[in-house]
Amino acid sequence: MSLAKAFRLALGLLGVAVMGIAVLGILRDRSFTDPPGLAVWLGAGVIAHDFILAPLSLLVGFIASRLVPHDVRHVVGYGLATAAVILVVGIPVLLASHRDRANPTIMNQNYGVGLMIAELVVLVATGLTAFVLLRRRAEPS
Amino acid sequence: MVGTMKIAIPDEAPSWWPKPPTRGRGTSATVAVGRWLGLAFAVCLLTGVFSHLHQHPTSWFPLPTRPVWLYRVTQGLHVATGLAAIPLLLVKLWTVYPKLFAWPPPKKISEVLEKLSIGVLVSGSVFQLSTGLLNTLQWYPWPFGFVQAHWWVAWMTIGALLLHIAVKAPLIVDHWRRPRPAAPASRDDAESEPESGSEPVPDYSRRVLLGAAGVGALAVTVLTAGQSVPWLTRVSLLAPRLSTSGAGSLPINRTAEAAGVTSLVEDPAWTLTIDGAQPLVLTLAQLQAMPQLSADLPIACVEGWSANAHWSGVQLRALLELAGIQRSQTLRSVSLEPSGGNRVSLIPANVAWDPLTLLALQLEGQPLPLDHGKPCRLIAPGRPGVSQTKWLTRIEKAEL
Repeated sequence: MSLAKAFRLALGLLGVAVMGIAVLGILRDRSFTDPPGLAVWLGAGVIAHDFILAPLSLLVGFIASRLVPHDVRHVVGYGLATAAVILVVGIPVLLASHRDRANPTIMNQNYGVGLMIAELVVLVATGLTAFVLLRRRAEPS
Repeated sequence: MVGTMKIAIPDEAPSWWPKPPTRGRGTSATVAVGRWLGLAFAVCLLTGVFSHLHQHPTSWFPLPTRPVWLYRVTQGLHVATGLAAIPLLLVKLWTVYPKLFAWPPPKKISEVLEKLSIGVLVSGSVFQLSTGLLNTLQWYPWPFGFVQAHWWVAWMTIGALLLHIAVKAPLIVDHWRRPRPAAPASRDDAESEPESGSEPVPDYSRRVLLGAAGVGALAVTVLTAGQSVPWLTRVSLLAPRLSTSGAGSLPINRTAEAAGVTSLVEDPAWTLTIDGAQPLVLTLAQLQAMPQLSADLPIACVEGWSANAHWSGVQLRALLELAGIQRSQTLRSVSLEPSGGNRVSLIPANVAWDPLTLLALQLEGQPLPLDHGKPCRLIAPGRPGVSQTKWLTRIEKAEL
């Protein structure tokens, strides 16, 4: 066995061992970790990504690729990806800000307005950049 | 046994089987984003373990109390890196999404196990980033304790990541050594599009994906980092809290009402007990008559927000000397809170004897406000806010 291969094997075994310790820890602290509840949340995250978020973003990407001129597709790609990420982070923030809370020093901004401003800045910047690029390409050099 | 099962799997995927587009999803982009994501996870792990050790102190590894802003930086970094990892993870998953529907499904037991380990890695990563985000919002819509779940799933995820790196090592090394693709027809893109054959491949696929990950990470950071970086408060439209100072605007995590101490702290018979060889029982007036020390120390919460404040009060070590407590003694601070995880916190000896560790009676020159721990709180350099016991009533001996 080569040194590289041995190192690879050791790394893989270390990974398995660490995962095993984590499972034992979850079971040991089960009064806090609630293994069935934890399993549901672990599975729900994957399902939410793989079967809701990813197909949705594929669909948006597909529609955008049909509507947007080829020359500015990368700019629009940046813009849409950024807008999507801001939504992924911003929606939980917005929802959390509408919960009842006794502590006035937390969640103390207007997140609806903030989210709208952030999305507008990204979309307007994307649109302007795409517009300028298209104009430049259209000009005879 | 999976290896001996006889299931007829057709070579061609059935017509109903989803086939996400593979265009623009090269291995090269996966590896490149993976490097950044791996680095982000390493930062989160190190800062996370550091924070865990602060909240579960050990005798064999005393944590430094200097610089006073150390925990502020490490925990701010933990949260900011975790938030910035959200776009990195999404882009990384985007590059490999078609592999989820690869046909034929894995047959060999080693392939099945590898797929399973990726499942653990993805679910652990999504779990860590989403529960971490919700924790910064103090929103706990789940049946488990955040701290224990976030701690153990972190190790599960890191274990799966180590296994994943071991499995993918040849691909990673290959792409690490390779020069960056310059020409449109580079080997990189050709290799990433094995099925598409003659279809023209855009040379910017890797750049666009990396760019999107970078711009996304930057956007999330700018929009949230104002909770710990004072000069970003104006642009951090999505920060759950702002890093503002002053007696009226210094954030808190737990109100007196939530802690159930509102009437207890108003009791004129309040005393502070230092339980040593010569026990001390001090009234507020006695504490105020002792030499007062002032210090600028940050409040840095595990949720990532932090802000500096100006505190004044009695040096803890002066009281420990009066009470005849030994320098190596671990202590425990006890709050008026009747119950809950914040009622007591351990004070390792090096923290207790630090000259900047105060029993604060004033914040910004004013008597401690109710929600900041009236009439007396512990404030020590370089510690998580959760350990800086508010509404203090007693300091006693403890073991690590």
